[in-house]
Amino acid sequence: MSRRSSGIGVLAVAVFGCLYFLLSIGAAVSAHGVDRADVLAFTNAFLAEAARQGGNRAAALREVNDVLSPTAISTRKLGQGAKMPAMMPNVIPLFLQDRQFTSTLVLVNASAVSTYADVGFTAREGTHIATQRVQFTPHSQQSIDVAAVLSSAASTATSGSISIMVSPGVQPSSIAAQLSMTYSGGPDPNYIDEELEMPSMNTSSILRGVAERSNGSPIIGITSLSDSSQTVAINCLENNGPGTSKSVSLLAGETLFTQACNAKTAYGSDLETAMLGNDSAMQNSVGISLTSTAQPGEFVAFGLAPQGDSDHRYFSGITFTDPKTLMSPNTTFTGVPMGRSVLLPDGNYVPELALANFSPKPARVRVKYAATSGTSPAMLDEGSLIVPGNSTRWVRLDQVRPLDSIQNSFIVESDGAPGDLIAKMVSAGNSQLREIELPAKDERDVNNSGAHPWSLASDNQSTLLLFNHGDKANYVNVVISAGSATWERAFRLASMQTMALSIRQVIHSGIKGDKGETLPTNAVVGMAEWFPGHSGGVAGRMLVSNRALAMARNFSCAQYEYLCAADFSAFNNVIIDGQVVDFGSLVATICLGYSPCDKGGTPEYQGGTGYSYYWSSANTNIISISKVNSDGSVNTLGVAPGSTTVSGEVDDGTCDAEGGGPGYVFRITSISPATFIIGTSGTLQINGGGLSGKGTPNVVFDGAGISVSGVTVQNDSTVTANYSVSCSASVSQVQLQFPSDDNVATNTLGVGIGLPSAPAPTISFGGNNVTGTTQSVVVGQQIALTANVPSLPPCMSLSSQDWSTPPGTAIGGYTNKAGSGIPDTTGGVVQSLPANNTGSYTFYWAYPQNSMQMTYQYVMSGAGGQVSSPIPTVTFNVSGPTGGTVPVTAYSKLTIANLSACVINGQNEPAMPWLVYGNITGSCSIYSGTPGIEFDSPTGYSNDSGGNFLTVQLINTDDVSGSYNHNDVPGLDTSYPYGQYFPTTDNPMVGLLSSNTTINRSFNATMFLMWQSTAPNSIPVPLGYQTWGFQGSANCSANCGSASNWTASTSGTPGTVGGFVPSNPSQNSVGNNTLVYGYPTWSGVSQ
Amino acid sequence: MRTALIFAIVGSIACSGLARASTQSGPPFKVVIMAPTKKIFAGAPLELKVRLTNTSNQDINASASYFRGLDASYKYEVRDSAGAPVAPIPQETARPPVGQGRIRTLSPGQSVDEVIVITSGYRLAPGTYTIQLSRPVSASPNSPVVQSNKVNITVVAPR
Repeated sequence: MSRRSSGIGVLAVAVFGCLYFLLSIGAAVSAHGVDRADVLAFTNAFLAEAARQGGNRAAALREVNDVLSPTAISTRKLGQGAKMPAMMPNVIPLFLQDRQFTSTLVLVNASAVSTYADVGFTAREGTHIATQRVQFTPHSQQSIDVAAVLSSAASTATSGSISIMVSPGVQPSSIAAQLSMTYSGGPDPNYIDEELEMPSMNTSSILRGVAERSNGSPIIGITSLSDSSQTVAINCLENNGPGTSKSVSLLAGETLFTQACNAKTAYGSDLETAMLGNDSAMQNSVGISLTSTAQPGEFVAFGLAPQGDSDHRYFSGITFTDPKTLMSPNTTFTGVPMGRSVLLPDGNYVPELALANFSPKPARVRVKYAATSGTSPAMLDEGSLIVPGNSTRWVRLDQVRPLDSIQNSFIVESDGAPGDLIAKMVSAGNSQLREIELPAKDERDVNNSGAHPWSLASDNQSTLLLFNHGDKANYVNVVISAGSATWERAFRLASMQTMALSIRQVIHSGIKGDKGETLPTNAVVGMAEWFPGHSGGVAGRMLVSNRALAMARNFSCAQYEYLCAADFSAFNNVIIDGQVVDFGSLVATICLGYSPCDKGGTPEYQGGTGYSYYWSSANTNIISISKVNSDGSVNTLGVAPGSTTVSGEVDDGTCDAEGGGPGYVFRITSISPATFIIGTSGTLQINGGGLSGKGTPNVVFDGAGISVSGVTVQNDSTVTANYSVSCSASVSQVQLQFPSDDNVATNTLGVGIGLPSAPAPTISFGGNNVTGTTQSVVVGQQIALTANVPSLPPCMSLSSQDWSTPPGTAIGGYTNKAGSGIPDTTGGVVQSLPANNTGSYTFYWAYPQNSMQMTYQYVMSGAGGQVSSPIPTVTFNVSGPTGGTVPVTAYSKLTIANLSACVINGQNEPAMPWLVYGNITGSCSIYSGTPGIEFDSPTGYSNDSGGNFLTVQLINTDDVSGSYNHNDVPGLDTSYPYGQYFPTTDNPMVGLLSSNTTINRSFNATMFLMWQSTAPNSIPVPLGYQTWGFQGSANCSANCGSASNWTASTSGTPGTVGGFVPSNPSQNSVGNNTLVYGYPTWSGVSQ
Repeated sequence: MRTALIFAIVGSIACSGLARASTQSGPPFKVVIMAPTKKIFAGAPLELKVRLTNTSNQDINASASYFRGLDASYKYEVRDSAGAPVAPIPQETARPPVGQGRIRTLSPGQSVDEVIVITSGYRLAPGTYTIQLSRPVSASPNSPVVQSNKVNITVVAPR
């Protein structure tokens, strides 16, 4: 999915001065429907193969030209699969290695692959000296000492040319090179930099150069790349117009020295000889034009402009340019030292500009100064001048006020055609370093990047200088290599901004790259590469300087790099519905090559900043693009479950590349069960969407205690699994996690841990489950309830249980004092209700009442919580005798009874008179007669079946006075019960001793009627009571041993005191005795 | 008054019946005692449940006469483990006997239960005792008696 078609079309390549120029000749060749880049590649391969086979190079070239003829092109289509054949060698036009010059070839491998280059040395006369293979690791530099090569080859050559053939399969532009020459003939070393040139037949046969003020005619070395002779016309332009013109003959492969601006040519001579007689006193800039009779690309040249006088001789280099390779009439100069600089020997540096107008028409030239202070650029117009046709001009820009010592760049604009005006700039110093040559770059140079060696050896400084002469800000990606270490950083350069990056500072200050990396502090040499994010508009070079050695060299090899591929890295391609994620990123691959956007280029670098990115979704109903980030990543929104493809495109302004991948949207919406009961196991089901196609997920809880097995993706919307919940489980969320997809996880769902329900208990009564029933019982019946608690769920234990408090009047029992048995002489006690927190509960209802409801509940605990059970209920209807009374018959008086002897408590009691309430005869132990009071069988009671009446009597008062005094304490009369049969009687009596004369007795008691069910374990309940009593006395005046001498008297009416009182729960006393819920109680026998 | 006459008539009949029963067909009643608790702590009350059953074919006098917890209609024989009789708690001679009675008659075959607190008249030190009750057939001083069964009681020292 290409966003647009190639914007470049068909290009051909011409390379000069370490520059790989891409010329648009699309209009010329597109009609032929052939890829001219492939044609060029084919041509180069053809030539190389011819050379390897020892064939005639010129003949081969002619054959190629035939191939390139329109007719040939139209009939020879190159298939799209044509491979890039080997290229022509790159060339250093001139090396000098003699008493005054030394040369070192510095090469860099800008590619990301290991490769090699065969470096061939050719002597001035065209003979082969040696070939040396140089191996490169990716992004590395190598250097070759020319003297050593010559020595090793036992060559006496002092000059010649150097060819560099890059290994097949690698773009020739991957290897850049520069010859660093040093002239030692003067008092101070003179550094001359000569760039690598790549000849091409698709250029012209013209080369142009300009020298600043030359002290004498410039000396040029012309090297033939042809296998046959050629004639080169040399024309000099001077300040006042055309100067010397001449022609020289150049043999095949020869390097010829000649004085460019005079007639002298010493064929076959070395440099020293060629320079003899150079007495022209040129004081202005010199333009030099070379026009060969050979085919384009069959000759190269480099020149030296003598400077200074004979005692202070030094040279500046003259680089020749094929005007056909220039894309604009404007020239840029990057990083011009101005004023004083710590990078250079102490002195004042002033830019000087040499201009040569090779057109017959005058050229209007404007000089612009792009000054950068810090990171803030400013464009200053430094004026304009007219360069007459076929003339030169020299300008010293000493009026320019620099804002920085090095962050200075210039643009020289001309209104002529590209190649008409050739400009050269140097920064002239008043120090040992007399001038620094500044490489000129075509403003529209399609070589958009650079690869330069750097060195910190011998206290060198290496400063990367970059100039954004485009009209927009641009990112420049800088990659600094040192051995295997790499430092990468993108710098944003504003329009017209010049940036100086000190390699030493990067290393020694530990400046971090964009990924936080640093370079090793012991790094000494390496290479630096740069390329803009948006192709074009940036120029750069490496300034290697040494203040102490008064050295400054420039490395400015430019290359064409382009975006050739993009790698997609998925970050989060599985998206939760409704969530925005960082989906992935496109990483650009930068290649070296000839043809823009050629996917077959040599990879140089992956990454970079400053590109444009475009992202799209194949189905925005599933995934939509949320945000495109400047770093190549994209944020996407999961719209709905499903899958689709997300594609991206990265664009550097010229080329684009695509990448992308599938995206999945999922979501989980519900889980069943949502609450996991501890101690249980089962099958869970998670519902959602987009769950299939990602392997088997893990069901992940955020806490411990739930184990899961057998996870199965049933379909796109359902996942099931077996689960088991431990007693200590503690979770609150669950999600699905897909191990086969980088453990991407879904959204979370809230879940809970629950306690199991408490099984319903039941209530048993009499061995039967009576839950929910109504039971009929009677008063005093033992209500013994038992709770039946089913087996509790796992993890749970019984923590508490409770019975409801019985309604009505319920008691825990009616016992003796110790509570160990029925009431007795030790006491009659109403027991409180028992504790109601056990599994059984026993009590008694004392009074009849219906709808008496009893409930039970237990609480079970586990996992930090507790659960209350359901509450079973049983209802009791309590019946009992009601509504009756006890008939009472009371004797009317006290009498004197003459009873015979008896034994009382083991003691013989003689016959004696007795004061008796009633009228009796017999002995004192066995008698008969009329009792004082008689309680007959109860009458009128309903519901009295199923039980028996009984009586209990409490003595309220029993005071005896007169001849004997004794007051009984209240309490139980005799024993419990008083009687169980009716009638039951009482006839209180007191023996009248012969010594007595008066006995008074006041007696008051309460007889209680009680009823006890025949049901097992029943207790009596009170039904009512009758208080009765008497008062009277016995008196005797003499012979009191005889009953006849005693007289009984009765006070008041003996017998009942009040009526029969039915019992009720509120009764709490009678006489001096205490009642509890109407029950008679005592703590001992009255006595 | 009418009730008193009835008691007098019944009592007369009973006495004559008893005499016949004692001479013609054995005792007119039987006495069975039972100790609800065979072992008590010293100082705790010892209650005996006494069941008097009319085994004759006529009414009998089943009156009771309680003096300080003991029914004087019975005689008590309390012996220690050596067979020695245990003396009753001495009574204050100057104190007139104060009691109460229950006049009742048992029909043939009828029974009456009562509770007698032995420890009201006997102080039982720790040891083993045999208790037997007897009841005179009539109020006559020379009346034959009917003996109950014996029960053994152990009195232990309180803890």
